Amino acid sequence: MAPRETTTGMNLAVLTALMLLLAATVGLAMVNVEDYLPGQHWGIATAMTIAVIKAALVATYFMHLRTTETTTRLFAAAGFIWLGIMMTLTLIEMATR
Amino acid sequence: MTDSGPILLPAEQFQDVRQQRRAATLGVWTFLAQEVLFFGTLFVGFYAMRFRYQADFAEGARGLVWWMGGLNTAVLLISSFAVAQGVLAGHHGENKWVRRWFAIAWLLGIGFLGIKAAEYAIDYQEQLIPGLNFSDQSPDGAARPSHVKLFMCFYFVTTLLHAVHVIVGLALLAYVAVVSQTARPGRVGQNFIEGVGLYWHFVDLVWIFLYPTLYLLRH
Repeated sequence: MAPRETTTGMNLAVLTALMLLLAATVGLAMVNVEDYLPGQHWGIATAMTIAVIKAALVATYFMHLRTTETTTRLFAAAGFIWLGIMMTLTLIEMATR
Repeated sequence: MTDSGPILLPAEQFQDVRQQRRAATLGVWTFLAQEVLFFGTLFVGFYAMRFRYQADFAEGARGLVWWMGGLNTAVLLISSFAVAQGVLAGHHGENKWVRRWFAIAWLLGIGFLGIKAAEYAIDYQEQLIPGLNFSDQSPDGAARPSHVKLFMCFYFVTTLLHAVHVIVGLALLAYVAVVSQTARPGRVGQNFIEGVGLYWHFVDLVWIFLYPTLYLLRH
């Protein structure tokens, strides 16, 4: 299916999804997820997962990555991939001291 | 990308309008990738320090007003929607609507800064500003854990840096709202509008990560 240009309907749907995800993030933070799940760092994991989903929605629809050519998408991804590597290595180093 | 809208001529160095559009998009995303590096290191630093001082940082997070940050997130999300609609209007050559949507986004951006200023005022009252009036005692007399100050340093550096980006974004949005004429690909053509749109969405993206990082890791 060839990607079509973004429409007002799509933008509204994305906004609605974003607001719902915002409500979910706040709700989960207030509840303290770690009380209900075994292990550590669930708070960060859930907050960041939802943030990543929101970011993906903004990038794909609002920022038109759906219809952008691949080279540009690679450039867009590069910064985040680099950040992922830096974050992972730094936190692994600290966690294994 | 579709080429709906008025017939355009490419700038001299480009083969056609599509190539110019691609070059502009690639250029802006390269800049945004650099911005990811810029903010990213602050996030890594924050998480590294949070890892080390989890209890103190949780205490620091509890000292922030979560619903004001949440309101700011909603404000920026709606402003991103407005900008997306403005860019869409530009695609269709509807200059009037480009101006309107970008003006709405601008107003929401001002609202964001207003709420932020109110938060900073509260931080001032509660003596939470490192280098200015940070107190080792919270207003109710309890002692503050020693690394709350570090948390607040991160809070102010990241949110001030973000606010600077918002202010730059506001200038760009205002420029488009006042000057946009999508029929001219030169100074404020559709490519410029798209670029400003991407920048504003990025400002929103940073806050999407900043809000849970600073405000919501309260335990």
